[in-house]
Amino acid sequence: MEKTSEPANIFHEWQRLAPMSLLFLIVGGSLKFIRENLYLFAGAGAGFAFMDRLGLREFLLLGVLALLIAILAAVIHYRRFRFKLEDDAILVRSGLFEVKDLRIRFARVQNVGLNQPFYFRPFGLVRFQLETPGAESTEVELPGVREEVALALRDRVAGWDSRSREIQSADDQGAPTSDLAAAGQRSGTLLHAPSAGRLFMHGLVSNQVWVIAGVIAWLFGTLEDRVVDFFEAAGITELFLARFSETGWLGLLILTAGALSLLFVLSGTIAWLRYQDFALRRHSDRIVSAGGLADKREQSMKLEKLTGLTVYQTALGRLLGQRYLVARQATSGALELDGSRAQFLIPGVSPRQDDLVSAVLPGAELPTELHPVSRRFVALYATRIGAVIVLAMAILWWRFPQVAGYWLIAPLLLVLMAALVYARWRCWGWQMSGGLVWVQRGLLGQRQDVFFIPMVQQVRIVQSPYLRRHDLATVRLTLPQGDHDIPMLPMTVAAELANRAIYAAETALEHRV
Amino acid sequence: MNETADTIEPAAEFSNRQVQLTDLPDYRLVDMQPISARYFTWALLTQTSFWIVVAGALWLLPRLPFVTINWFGWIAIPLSSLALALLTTVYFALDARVRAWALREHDLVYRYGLFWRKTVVLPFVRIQHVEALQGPVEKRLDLMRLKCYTAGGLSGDLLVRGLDSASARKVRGFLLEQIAQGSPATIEVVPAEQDGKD
Repeated sequence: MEKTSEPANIFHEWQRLAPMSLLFLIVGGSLKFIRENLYLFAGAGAGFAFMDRLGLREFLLLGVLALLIAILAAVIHYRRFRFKLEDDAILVRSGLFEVKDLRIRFARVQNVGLNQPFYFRPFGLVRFQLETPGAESTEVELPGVREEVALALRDRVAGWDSRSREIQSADDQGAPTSDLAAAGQRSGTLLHAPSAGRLFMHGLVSNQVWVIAGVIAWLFGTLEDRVVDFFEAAGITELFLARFSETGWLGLLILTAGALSLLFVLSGTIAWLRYQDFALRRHSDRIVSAGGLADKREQSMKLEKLTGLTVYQTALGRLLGQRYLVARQATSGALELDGSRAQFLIPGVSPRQDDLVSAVLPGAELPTELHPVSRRFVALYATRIGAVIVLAMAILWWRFPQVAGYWLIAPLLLVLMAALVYARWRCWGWQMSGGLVWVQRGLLGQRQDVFFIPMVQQVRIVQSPYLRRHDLATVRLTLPQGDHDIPMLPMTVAAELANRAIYAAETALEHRV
Repeated sequence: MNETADTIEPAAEFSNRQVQLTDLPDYRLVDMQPISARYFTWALLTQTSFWIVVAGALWLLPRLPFVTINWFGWIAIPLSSLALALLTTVYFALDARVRAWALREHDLVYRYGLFWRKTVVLPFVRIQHVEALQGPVEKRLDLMRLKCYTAGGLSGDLLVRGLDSASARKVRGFLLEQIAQGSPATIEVVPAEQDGKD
């Protein structure tokens, strides 16, 4: 594999990926290809129609051809890929026709990621990732390097190598151990280690459950004919109809509850597997999270690169008393489109762990009181949405006059809508103290963002005709991690907030992200 | 402790006056400078070229073998297109009047938007890169766009339209100078009533 066996000798020499990384490149490349083209295949059943028309043998041949191309691409990538570690930077060389050299200074790195899929474990290999602010995707990915090389590299990037350890202060709790597998027993100050139950509950309260439900529904929709045929052939449909006629609506209700429970158990189990033995620790200048069963992950984030924090509490999370946090960093865009740029997520936080917020983001304490936004928020949205509901009802009544009950449904819908708008307004709130701004929003669930006001990149004051008429304004604060809107503030308050944000940004000592 | 305290010499230039909220520079008091009058001509020309394409498509539409248009369509389609073209002309005329910009000591202020009026304040210290852009029509009209990039991603970038070339070049040079200096501002806070008068 690499030219050297000692981690000490890995610097200043060109290194290659381990041969096993070929497997990862093939598997990863194929999965990416499938993920990006699945909708073409499964969308509206076009792929299955194509398969039926072509015949299974030809279709499989095409599949083999695609796999061969993926293998060839992986081999070329593997053969051409080199990396070299310098004292303060990493150099990556890749490309067949166009050789691309990339040099990243360690000081620019904001996030170091290590993960070890189960099939890498017997070979002592890991996947290493570096992220820099502003990059569209993971800047450096070494998909199969020896664990000791990756750990030495991580220590060098993080400043935990032997030289920097000497100058670390005496109260520092030390560098992480050099064993990714021992994620749970690391050194450093332990900030958070949720129990297995909390991790399972994270799967229930996070919106992941709805994503899983969506995928299942989509797959069922796409494969409906085949599933129905299979059910009929296996006699399940007949059995179901017979049972339904016996038990009636109660049976259907039990069936739905059962399916929902199964979905939640599945989501909880996935979360538990994903974050198993999760531990968040603080080292001198960074926070490190580690955990996972099938795919052990370690994420390391420099605290100086932390630009904010988000506290999430979904509707179910509010009921069950569970939150999760996401540490924010500079991104290249308002939307995170690249899935490879994993969020720094801290799962399984209980309401009694308010101090975790200040442990991750010093000085930030969950606000007890927030300034509300203008009450006109309710008036504006209730009247506009109400008008749409009334119009829709009028059209329905005009088109289908035979259907009774419009006079009951319309007021009910209006009341429900007004209650939801009011709940939305109640959720909105903001607060600025000690150089930190809190913004809260939500409806049934709740999201609280906190960020440093001197990090503001741009201030935007927006006034629609309605807002101008009522002397209100929406303030949009653009931060390295994205935009934060505070809607419908009285104009004087909006201007004051804008002026303070501009002043803080212009007088801040640290300017570059 | 006292000995140590006795030896501390207060730096002559150090001060730590309380900053009153009302004394902070107010972006609303800035004298905004309207953009070039030629911006409306540019908007009109680009819109006209768009409507020419639409008109071409409308001319072609009834000549297609599978499309049948009745007498109402013959009247309604050109009339509604003409009305839309007129409305956009009026829109751009009014929009050009809203657009304005200003430079303060430490930031760039830009206002735009006819219905959703936006005022953007971009501190110089947050600008990472400035780009001057000019299309062929803008070149003929001696106009330029300035694009300021920040670390705030796509939404953090600011595009200032409708500057005349000379002003755009000057502003770009000034901004690049400010970026090169890159030190935090030592803003002298003046009472609100004095700010913006000079």
